[in-house]
Amino acid sequence: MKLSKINRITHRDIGYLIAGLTIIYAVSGIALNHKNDWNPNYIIDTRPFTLDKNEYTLSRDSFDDQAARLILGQLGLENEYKTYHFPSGSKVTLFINGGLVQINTETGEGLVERISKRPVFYQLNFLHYNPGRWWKYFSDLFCILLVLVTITGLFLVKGRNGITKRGAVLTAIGIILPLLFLLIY
Amino acid sequence: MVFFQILQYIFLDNLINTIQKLLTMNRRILSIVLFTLMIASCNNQGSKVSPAKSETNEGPLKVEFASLISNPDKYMGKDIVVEGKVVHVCTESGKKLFIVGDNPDVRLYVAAGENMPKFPMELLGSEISVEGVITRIGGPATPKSEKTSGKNDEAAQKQGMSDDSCETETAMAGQASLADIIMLYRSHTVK
Repeated sequence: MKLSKINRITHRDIGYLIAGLTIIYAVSGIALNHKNDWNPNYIIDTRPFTLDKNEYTLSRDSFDDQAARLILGQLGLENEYKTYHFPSGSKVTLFINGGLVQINTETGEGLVERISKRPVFYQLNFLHYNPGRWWKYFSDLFCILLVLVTITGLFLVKGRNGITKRGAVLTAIGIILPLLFLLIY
Repeated sequence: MVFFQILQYIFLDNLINTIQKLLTMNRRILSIVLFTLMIASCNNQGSKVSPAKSETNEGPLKVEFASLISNPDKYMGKDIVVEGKVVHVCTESGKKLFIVGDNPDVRLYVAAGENMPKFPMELLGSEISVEGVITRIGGPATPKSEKTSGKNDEAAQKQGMSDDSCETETAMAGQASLADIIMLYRSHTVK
């Protein structure tokens, strides 16, 4: 079999094989790239509120589960109560199913935080972060196949649009750009 | 009578042939299932594989949180189990978790290693038993070399020193005990 045919078959078949994983890593890569702009894994909904300090127990010494439930009752969250954490300082945290409620005991101001997994992105990012040893080896294999697809792709086309002419220019641009970034940064 | 005997013979003959085919098919299916189970059992070490190894080969030592607070050096490098309430899970990396005991002002930092999946947010507010190896932040995790588990210990510690510091970490830095202690996570159970 001719080398060009082997090259084409390899590129085609490995391309199909890694299509799904490439999309997973690409989409989650974009999401994680912008993690300073958004939380790629969780949707965090916040709702501020204010408590009348005279009406509720906000003292650390006398705070208990009952006091927590009373506060949550006003917010309609009594049935979702788990526990509370009241360290030194002016903040008490009430843990609820799927989130938490933080209250400033000095001002009575509080915030309800509901935390939910960001659909699709959570799952993609989970895979991107290497959830286990075997996934690490699997993703290493994926990277090797990606390199193979890239190299076979360079030699797919012959003639003036191939690697010796137009392809050479575009490939060189693709190498020079990251080198420029390296020099700049 | 003869007719029925012939019918029975034909029917039984077909039935036996069908059963034989099913057995053959099932043997193949059984082989595939067994093979898959073998592969899965090798893969199943993901959640149990620990990035950190303790000094002894005995099971984990069950330790009271208060005992850990009063004498953390006693448990340095050891594989322990401690119970606590989860008060914070990092929403960014998901690899950091903080638990407290009876004293709400003393938090224990639990870090998931490189090969560990992220901590689920559902753990917030839960009472858990967490197993891991106690080490000091920034110091050598265990006497092991970098080529073995030590490399993953360093990765876990580096996770703790990553850029996404938060309020809980800030509070932990000022606490009287366990401020420089980290538990390298192995496993947990929710109580």
